Amino acid sequence: MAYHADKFKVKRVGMITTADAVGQRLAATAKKVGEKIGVQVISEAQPASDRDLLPSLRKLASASPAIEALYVFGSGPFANIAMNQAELAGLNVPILYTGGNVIPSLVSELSPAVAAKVFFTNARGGVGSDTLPDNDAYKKKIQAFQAAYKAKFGDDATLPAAVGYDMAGTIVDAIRTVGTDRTAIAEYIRGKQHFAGVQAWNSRARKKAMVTGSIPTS
Amino acid sequence: LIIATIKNGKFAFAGYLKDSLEKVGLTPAVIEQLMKEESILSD
Repeated sequence: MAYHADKFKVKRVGMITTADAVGQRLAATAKKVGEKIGVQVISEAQPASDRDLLPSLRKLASASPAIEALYVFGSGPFANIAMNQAELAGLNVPILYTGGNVIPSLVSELSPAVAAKVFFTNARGGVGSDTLPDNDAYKKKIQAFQAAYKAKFGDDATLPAAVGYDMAGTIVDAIRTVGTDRTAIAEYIRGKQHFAGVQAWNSRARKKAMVTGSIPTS
Repeated sequence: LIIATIKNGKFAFAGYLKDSLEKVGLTPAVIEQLMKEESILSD
């Protein structure tokens, strides 16, 4: 939502979410975050098993004042159907997406016109390394990771592969440093680790310093 | 973290999340406070 407020100057977002505890919680949180950044969020919900999401999308499309972006939350068919049906409901606005579909099926199941309007938070390793800026601090590491992954598995690395690799790396680093004692590993990761993975740092001390402002965010 | 989109049939970089968070005033301290208010983080 911050990206859409920044890049598209949206002030009013329509959200379609699953009618379950997670979806309702996320809708409430989105409204609260929106209040912080001057974005009004209105929401509609349908069961995750629904395949006709036009009732909710049409409500969002007829909202007054009009929404300037569509926020889709959900995983599996629900999310991809919501995004594809948005245009049928008359919604020709940027889409922000949160959910578990950041995998190749998102690309294959969205129409090209819809895909070009979708934006979502991702890890660096979840995009083609050739699309990262040349001055990105992790670009060369990610290029090497993606090349090694393709050589080993014959397929492009996806978000779960890249994130999983770095998550496993934190544990490997801990075992190499403090051995195999579970308590020692947990204490090390929680309090002492400064581990640079393929695409980011894992350091709770570093994150704390960002919150307090003693070092810049990065 | 970054913002991604889909270009030429693949996931592509669109921007850094950090840049947008800063521009709209969602600093790490504000985000931490929000997470506490939402009971995602403990005090």
